[in-house]
Amino acid sequence: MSATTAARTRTGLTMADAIRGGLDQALSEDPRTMILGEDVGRLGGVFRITDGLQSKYGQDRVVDSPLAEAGLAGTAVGLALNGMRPIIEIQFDGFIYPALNQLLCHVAKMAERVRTPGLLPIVVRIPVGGRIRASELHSESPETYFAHTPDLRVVSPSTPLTARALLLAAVRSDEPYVFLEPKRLYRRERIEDGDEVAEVDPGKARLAAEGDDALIVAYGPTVDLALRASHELANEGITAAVLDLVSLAPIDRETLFEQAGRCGRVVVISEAIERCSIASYVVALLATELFDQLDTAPRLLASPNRPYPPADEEEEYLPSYEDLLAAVRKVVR
Amino acid sequence: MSSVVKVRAAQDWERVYRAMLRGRRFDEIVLALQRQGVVDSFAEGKGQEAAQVGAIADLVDGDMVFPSYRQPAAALERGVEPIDLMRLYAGASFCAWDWRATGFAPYAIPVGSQLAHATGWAWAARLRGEKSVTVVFFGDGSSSQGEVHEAMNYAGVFRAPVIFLLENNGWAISLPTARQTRAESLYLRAPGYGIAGEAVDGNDVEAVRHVVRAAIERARNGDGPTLIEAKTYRLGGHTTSDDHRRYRSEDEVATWAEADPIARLRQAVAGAPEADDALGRIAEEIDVEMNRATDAFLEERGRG
Repeated sequence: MSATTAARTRTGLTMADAIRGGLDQALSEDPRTMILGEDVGRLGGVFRITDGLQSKYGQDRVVDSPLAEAGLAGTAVGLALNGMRPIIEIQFDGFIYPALNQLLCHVAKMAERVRTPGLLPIVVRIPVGGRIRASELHSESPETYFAHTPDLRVVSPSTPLTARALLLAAVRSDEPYVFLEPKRLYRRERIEDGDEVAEVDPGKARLAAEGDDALIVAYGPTVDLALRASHELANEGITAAVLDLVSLAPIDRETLFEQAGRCGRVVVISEAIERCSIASYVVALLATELFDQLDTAPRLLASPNRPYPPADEEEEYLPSYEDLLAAVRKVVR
Repeated sequence: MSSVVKVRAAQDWERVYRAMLRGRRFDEIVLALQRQGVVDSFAEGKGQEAAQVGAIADLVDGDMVFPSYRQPAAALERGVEPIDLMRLYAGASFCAWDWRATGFAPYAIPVGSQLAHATGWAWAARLRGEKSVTVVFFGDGSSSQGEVHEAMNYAGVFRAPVIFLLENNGWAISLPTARQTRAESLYLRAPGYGIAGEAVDGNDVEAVRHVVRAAIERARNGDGPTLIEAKTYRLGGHTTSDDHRRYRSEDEVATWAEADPIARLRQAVAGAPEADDALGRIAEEIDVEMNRATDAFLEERGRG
């Protein structure tokens, strides 16, 4: 912890620090809370998000699990049924797939199966997204699988400002949460400690930038692209608002419709594959529920319908910053 | 598997006999209800009553049971009301019983997925310093699932006080155990997890109780999990949608019917006038109990 702490004092609070702070707070405020995952103990996780927590809380509360994700998720179900509040860390997005049976068949269904709301207070933390030149299956955007599953809440932070509060909201909830951490943004933005937001409603979208001419809808790893675009387009006299969805399931329709209706022109951007995606669902909602208030057809930027490519090709594959600028210019023209 | 009666009845044989007979009678009634179109489908437990009752007969308050989906005898012995179990098969509910109060978890349909739940439950109890024990049922078919391996490995690593009760009933729908695994016995996997493992005649209720009691003691003493393979036989179909004559011989079924666990216990105790009286009395009481439940269920389904 000490090295990390020193780094933070020098340069401000990153999203990785904010999430770690949230985990620390969660462990300190409820003895039922546990962290489980591969290498989360002595090593502090491959992204060092749990750095220092095992030495602070012990091996029974910050648990190095065997290398088996289905067993991890299934064991978390049993722990939660028996009064614990497990937070499980999946090492990389592409490693969640062995746990899908447990997530889809039990984590998502157990409460409804026995008609007891709030039965499984489990948080599944997953680093997601690409643009880090990683190996195969280390840059996936698996959110659609979870968002498609009833009774799983899916949220994603995009800034150190709210990451701690969002994590704590998920941990304190009695509902199962999938918490998607855009790994590229772990250490990108730095804020002052005091700027952290104390509390957020995990079901609410966040207006990350003001604007009237167009609305960029983004979440997780694309929010920083959207903010940059909004900033740059201001030089051209285009004011583009940025809506960070935060909650991918359920979608905060109220805020989405309010902001989209106000701007009348919408671009949705996501790293995930377009087909049957969160982004395409947002566009479908706008088309079916808000058609009258739109000035032009929404534009959708997402990844093509093919597997995530080797690192050399990922910039071609993912929707780019330039694509986003062009799309916004196009809808406001 | 020998059909020679070697069952030695325990002092409290009446209790386990009653539980086994209750399971059998429940099976017969729900099978009939399915044929009459009152329930949709049903997975019979016929032939496996000794393995199921023997696995839980010596649990105490605070212990927990995770079933797969073929444990009617165990469910009823845990205190699940017959009508609540009937509601499951009638499509009225996935879990009408109070699983916490009965200590009997909801049925788990994805085979083998429930073992990790038992591991987690047992581990939570150990973390709190409780002495409770968890029993989880699964079958020879689900033993092929990767999640079964993961759950046993986790339980071994974390010394979870859990008993993995494998009801090897010979058939995973149409696949015989010999085609499920090249291993001669499935309990032999236990050393691979560094946990205790035993095989037992699953049609001998006292033999099952004997090995389970040792496993319970190990678990309560902090010595971790046990894998128990109870060798038994599914006398009925996989479910009421199955036609087991398509994949196994009548001779095979008849041979195993001679090793019927309920008949074996009955033969072991019969002869003494007091025991004969008890056998008759228990059968009558089970009939009254089950008929009452069936009437209430039929009434509820508008078939009264």
